Amino acid sequence: MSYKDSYFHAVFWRQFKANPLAVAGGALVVILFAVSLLAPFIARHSPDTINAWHVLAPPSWEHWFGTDELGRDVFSRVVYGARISLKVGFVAVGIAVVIGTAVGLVSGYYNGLTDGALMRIVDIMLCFPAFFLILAVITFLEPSIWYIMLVIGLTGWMGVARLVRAETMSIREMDYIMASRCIGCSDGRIILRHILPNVLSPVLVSATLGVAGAILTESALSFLGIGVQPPTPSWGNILTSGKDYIEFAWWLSFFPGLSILVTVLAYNLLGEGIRDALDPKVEKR
Amino acid sequence: MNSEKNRIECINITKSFKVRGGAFSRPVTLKALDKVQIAVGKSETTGIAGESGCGKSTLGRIISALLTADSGELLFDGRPLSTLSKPEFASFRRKTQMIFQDPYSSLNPRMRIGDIIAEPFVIAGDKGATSPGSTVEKLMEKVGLSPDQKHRFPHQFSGGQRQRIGIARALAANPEIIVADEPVSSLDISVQAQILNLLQEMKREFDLSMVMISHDLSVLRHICDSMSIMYLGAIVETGKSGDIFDGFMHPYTEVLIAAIPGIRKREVKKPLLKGEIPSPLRIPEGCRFHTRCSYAGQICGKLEPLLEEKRPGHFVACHLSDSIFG
Repeated sequence: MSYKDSYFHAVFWRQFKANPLAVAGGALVVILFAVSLLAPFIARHSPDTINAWHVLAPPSWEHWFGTDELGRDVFSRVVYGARISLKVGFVAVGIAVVIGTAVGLVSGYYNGLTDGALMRIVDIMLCFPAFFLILAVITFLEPSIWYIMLVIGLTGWMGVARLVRAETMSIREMDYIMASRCIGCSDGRIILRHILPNVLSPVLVSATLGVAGAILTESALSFLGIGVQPPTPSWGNILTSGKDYIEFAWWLSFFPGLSILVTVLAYNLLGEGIRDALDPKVEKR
Repeated sequence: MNSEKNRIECINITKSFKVRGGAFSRPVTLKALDKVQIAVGKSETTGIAGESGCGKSTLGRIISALLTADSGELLFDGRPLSTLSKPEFASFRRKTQMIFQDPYSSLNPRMRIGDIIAEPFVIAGDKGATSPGSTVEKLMEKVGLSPDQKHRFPHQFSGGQRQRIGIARALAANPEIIVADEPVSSLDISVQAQILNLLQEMKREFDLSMVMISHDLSVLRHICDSMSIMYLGAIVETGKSGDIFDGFMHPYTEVLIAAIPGIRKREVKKPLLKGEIPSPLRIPEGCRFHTRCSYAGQICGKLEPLLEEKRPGHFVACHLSDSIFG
């Protein structure tokens, strides 16, 4: 009868709604999702159709964001680019969150040697400047979107691991963990049923913020030419091709750049909104 | 103390913890329990009383096998715990359930209370425990909760109700022993009585042995058959509740009883307690209570008194008890 009286409804949603920036970020993220799902219906031209008669045309009613050096519709390319960004953002962060949460839970629950070993691995991973590590790995592998997602994910889990470890260590000392040990729960059950659900909220925040970072990394890689390969449109590689024409065709760099800015901003606002809504100390009333 | 009648018996339990002061200081040993002996009879309630930090909770956790003692032995129905096989130990663990002090941290905030109470059944392999008319609903009714609250989350309940949920969860494991660690000290006075009565009823109904841990003797005097008074990790007086309340023989017990508001059975002669409780990192030489005892004499600072049977079943660790209370 009172399924809706969950923690989510009682506290989180009321807090979240009261924060206009968070709601704006959330709305933008929803719009971005809609745009990438409905790309074929929103784009008025195919992103790959070359039109030699309309090379570098400025924004017009026919081509909202103008056309590029091959006469392709920039609006369509940006819309299809949103799909890539979304995919990279979520898959990469998904990989990072799964690894980070698993490492953090094990490390925080079994302290001592296990914890020490896992945390040293985290420290070592953190020593590498992540972007250059990604650059080096990608140049060895053939540039493919799956490799990019995998590498971004594999180099981005350490923050989540530390977060989850700290949270696990504090929850491990709660009486309800003691109680579940009393009733005979196995370690696995304690970790999955009792600790995991209680560490998820900070993970959610860090994942949302991480999506923004992953999208930015993918754009940067594509901009450098080792990310998503043309002709597949990605915001990063549209930017690259635009930089050669920036003096007389500003629209070619402006719109993909704006998309990156708006997307990253949206995820950051959403992430911070979720964090504030989940933090009881920020409660305003 | 004959072991036939005893459900649980602790023999010379010692437990210490390593405490690290700072990053560069050497770890120090905190002796939480020093050769503690205690027995819990079948279907009896045993009280453990003492100030904060005297080791009562540590003892409770050792009895419920959440901590293991450094030395000494825990007997369950006369059998040493260290000789139990793995499955036997698992069943012992289920037979000993705890009720916690803080009803706000003893329930998983992300679980519905029906699932919390059902968990012991689920672990035992009974998946249908939450279905209507099931054991979970019966248990909820028994502890005074309405079964249609089973879909709610812990934050929707008051402290007293949460404590009832904790009791239901403990009962769901079908225990023989309940260790209640300050079960009412964080509740309102009016609710305290309800929870104590509930514990009493459940104890009768399920034929439980109970260990009640409390710093409040007025809580213990109503429900305990026997009790032990602890000071800085050691038991200083133990015996039947009535004997201890009406014929205490340790200065520390006198202090605790004098501290109960509204009870003045014997006239209080002196200002009873001096200073603060010493740090458990540096337990005083000789009698551990002599630094605060208003009766302390020469011998008290030199020789540690052992528990002696002063009257049948009434043990006291004090050199001077005969001359003071005799």
